[in-house]
Amino acid sequence: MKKKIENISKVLVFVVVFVLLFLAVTQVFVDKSMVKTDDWPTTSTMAGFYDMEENTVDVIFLGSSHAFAAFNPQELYNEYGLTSYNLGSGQQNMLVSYYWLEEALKYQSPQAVVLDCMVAFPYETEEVLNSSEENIRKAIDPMKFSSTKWNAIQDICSYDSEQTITSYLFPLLRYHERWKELDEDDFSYSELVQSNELKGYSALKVNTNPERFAPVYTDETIGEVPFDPIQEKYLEKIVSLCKENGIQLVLTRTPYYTATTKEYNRLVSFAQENGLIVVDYNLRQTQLLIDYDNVSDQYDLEHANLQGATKITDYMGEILTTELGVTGDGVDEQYEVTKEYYLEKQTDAILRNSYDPAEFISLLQNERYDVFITTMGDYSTVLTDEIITALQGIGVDIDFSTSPKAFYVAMLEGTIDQCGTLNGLDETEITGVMRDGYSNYSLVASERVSHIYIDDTEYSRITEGINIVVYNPEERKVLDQAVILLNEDGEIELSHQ
Amino acid sequence: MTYTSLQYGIFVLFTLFLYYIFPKKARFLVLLAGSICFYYFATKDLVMMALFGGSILISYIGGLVLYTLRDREKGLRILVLWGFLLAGGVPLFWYKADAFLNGYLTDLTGFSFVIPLGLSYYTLQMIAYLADIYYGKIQPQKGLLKYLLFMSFFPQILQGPIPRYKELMPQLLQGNKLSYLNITRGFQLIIWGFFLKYMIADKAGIVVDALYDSFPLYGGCYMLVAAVLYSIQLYADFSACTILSLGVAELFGIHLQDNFAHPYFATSIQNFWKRWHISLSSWLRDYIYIPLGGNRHGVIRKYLNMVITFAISGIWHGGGIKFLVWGLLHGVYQILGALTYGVREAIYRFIRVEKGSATYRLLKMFGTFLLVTIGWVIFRAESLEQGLQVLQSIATIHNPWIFTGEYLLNFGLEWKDMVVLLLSCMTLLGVSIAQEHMKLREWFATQHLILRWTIYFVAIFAIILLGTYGYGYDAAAFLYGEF
Repeated sequence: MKKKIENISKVLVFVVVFVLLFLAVTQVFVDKSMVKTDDWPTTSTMAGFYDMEENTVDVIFLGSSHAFAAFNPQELYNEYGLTSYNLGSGQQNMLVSYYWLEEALKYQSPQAVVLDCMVAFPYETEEVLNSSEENIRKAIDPMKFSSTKWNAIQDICSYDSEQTITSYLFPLLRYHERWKELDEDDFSYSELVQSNELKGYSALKVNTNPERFAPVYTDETIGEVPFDPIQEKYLEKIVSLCKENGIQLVLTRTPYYTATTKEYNRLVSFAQENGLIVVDYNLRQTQLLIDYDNVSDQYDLEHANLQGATKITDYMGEILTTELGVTGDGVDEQYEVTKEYYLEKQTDAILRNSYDPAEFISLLQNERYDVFITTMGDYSTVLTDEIITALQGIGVDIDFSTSPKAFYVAMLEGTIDQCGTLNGLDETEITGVMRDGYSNYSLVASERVSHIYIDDTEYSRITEGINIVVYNPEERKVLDQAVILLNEDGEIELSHQ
Repeated sequence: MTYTSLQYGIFVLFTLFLYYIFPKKARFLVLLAGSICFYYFATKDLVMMALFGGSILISYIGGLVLYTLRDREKGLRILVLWGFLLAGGVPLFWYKADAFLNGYLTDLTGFSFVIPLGLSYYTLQMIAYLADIYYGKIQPQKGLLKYLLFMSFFPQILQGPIPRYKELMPQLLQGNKLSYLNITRGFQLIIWGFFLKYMIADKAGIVVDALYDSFPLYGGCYMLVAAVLYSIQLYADFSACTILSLGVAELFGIHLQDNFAHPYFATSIQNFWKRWHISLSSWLRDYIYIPLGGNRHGVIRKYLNMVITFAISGIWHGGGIKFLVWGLLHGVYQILGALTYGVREAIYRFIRVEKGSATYRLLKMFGTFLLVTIGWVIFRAESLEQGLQVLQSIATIHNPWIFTGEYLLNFGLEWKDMVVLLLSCMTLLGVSIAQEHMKLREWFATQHLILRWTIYFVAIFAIILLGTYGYGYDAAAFLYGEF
């Protein structure tokens, strides 16, 4: 009998240890390429949603990366006092939007839902569900297990035979191959998902949009294009779900270069059939109304940048409050504590978009940045008094009057770590540690070349002039790779990557 | 449902649970119900089940009839035996004949069917049963349900080992006690089976498939690598399936026979067939070779019987000329081996290699592995023609530099995967050597719990994390399940 109990206990202990290890290992292996960093959040978005106090959110945004780059809950709160959450995710299709809405309604009772409809139309046409498996997984994996998730998994697997229910139940089986590519992010999972101050919004700071693209002109006569059939099915379910819960649904699209009038027409006819409104930011008249510029307000051909998002969010706020009568509840601490974080993002954007070298340099002294400067070639042509003053203003105590052939600066979290001059021929590396020893940097400044390595990756622009790299140690990402140079016209220019 | 799917795991757990709650005498009914359910869920095809059921019914009746006639004259008994053999084995014979004649039979009659799961295996099992009754070795099973269980026992229905009635039936019926030892042993075997499948077979298979699919683009040493890796892949894959069968059966307290005894340690082809797919070899010996006369009628007749037996082995593995050639090759190997034995031993003496020494054994192992691998090349290739071309390529194109550059990393396995494969193969080698010299499982059981559990967890997580499976891989079916 004693032996029997002993054996049973052994089996039980074994199983318990196995389950615990399995769960721990799963946390490490689950794909987090969209967790850390405000750029392209997904997992932190969903995790952060569960952290919100129940029944405090007035508006929910759903849709693709177009949506999460364009609708800024902090801005909506700051300007209109409305609380909102952005549950957008990469290539989010209507199935994912539907199930996330169903999930969201267990925790929140929003007055309105704004749905970006890009993926309702044919998008990733080789994919059965109109978006890639990778993106679907990244949105569904963070959902807590419930009948909603079970239904979502079943639907997805019934449409896409390459996905299996087993791999959703045990994500480790899906992501085990990542053993070859694990990095620091994977081992700090719990810390990473706490970073969702922007409540799902992705603050894309720069405009790197290469070209202007045309807006959409209204023209009823040219007809419509249909929705993707499977997407339409879930779009209708979203409409029903909103109606059942007394939620006002807004269909929207943010500016992107392949938007067409026919799609707009389909949205309008669908909206009319269902008593909804459409806010399409691709329309010329809408863009004129909000003074939207398809170059300076866009991050790229498909996503708004921070500046553009502000305009888009403000306009939506106006519609929500004046046309749909959505009201706020006054001060909400969850949005008050994040104001400062948002200001920091705005500072990042200013830095990133600055074209005044002196102003730029003065912004570098910030405890949120690690800054590295190395010169290349004859940089004296760009070393104006203004720039010298700016440099000295941030603590660079180099005597420029001796006309050094090269110099370097390493500033960590607002304090100079090391700086100095070089004879221009010496190409030895100046090295140091950062992030409390978790990372390292290595600098070379000379007449021939400039290097700025962070953890063995080159970030310097390697251009004649003053090369500057700004790194965010908390996000573990490079914010800016700039260089102050003499351009073709002989003018001093601050160029960003 | 395959032997490595989650559904199968849940099914096994559920069946185990029922088995041990039921009263001992009735436990076989749980196994029977489980086997029927398994067959259904694995095939979802009622036609297959009907064909399978038909063969079972025919052989059941045949057994009873043969036993009734046991005192009658031999001629009648042989006639009856052959009658039932043909009737019960019709699906397999038809399928093989049709494949050999390139679909001629199907064209002729317009009749075709999907082969029932496990056809090749259960047909042999059935033949063994009827033959054993004919020879008076066993008495037939009177209970239809019990016979049904014998034929359909789920852990071995897909790929064997091909059981003998005398060894298996009592174990199925006796209703085993829940034993910690059986559970542990079963568990160990299951881990080992998964290890072989996902850490060796499927990994090696990626490179093998890539090289064979693109042949003749990469010749010479590339195909040598493909050949050796395939030898490893086939062994690991087939062994994995058998081990999983054994492991699951063990959980029920049923001990099946292992199908392998480290075949690549064989010192001759004859020895190889005592170590590879043992249940098939012994079946061929007992039901083809010996009935033909074995070696009791002189050397010529013995060789002829051997050739016929191996030809049948070839055909059993696949309907097509290359399988027949492969089978015959092994027959020829053994004939030539017997004929040249004296000469070869003389050579060993000449180069001062003492018989029975380590060097002697290693040389013979190497030679045997070489011969077997040549056979596997034909076995694996798309056709006999391609197989011969591959062998020619290996013999004539000399490009050993591919081993030191990064050339072999372009076939689906990057260097990290290669390292895992190599370490896994070394583990297999180490375990195999250990097993040849000691009772590894017993030794392991005497080790401290901490050591044993550490090995379990390392093994399990190594397989989960490093194994070849999941999104992006085609669900790799077990290779020997296609025969």
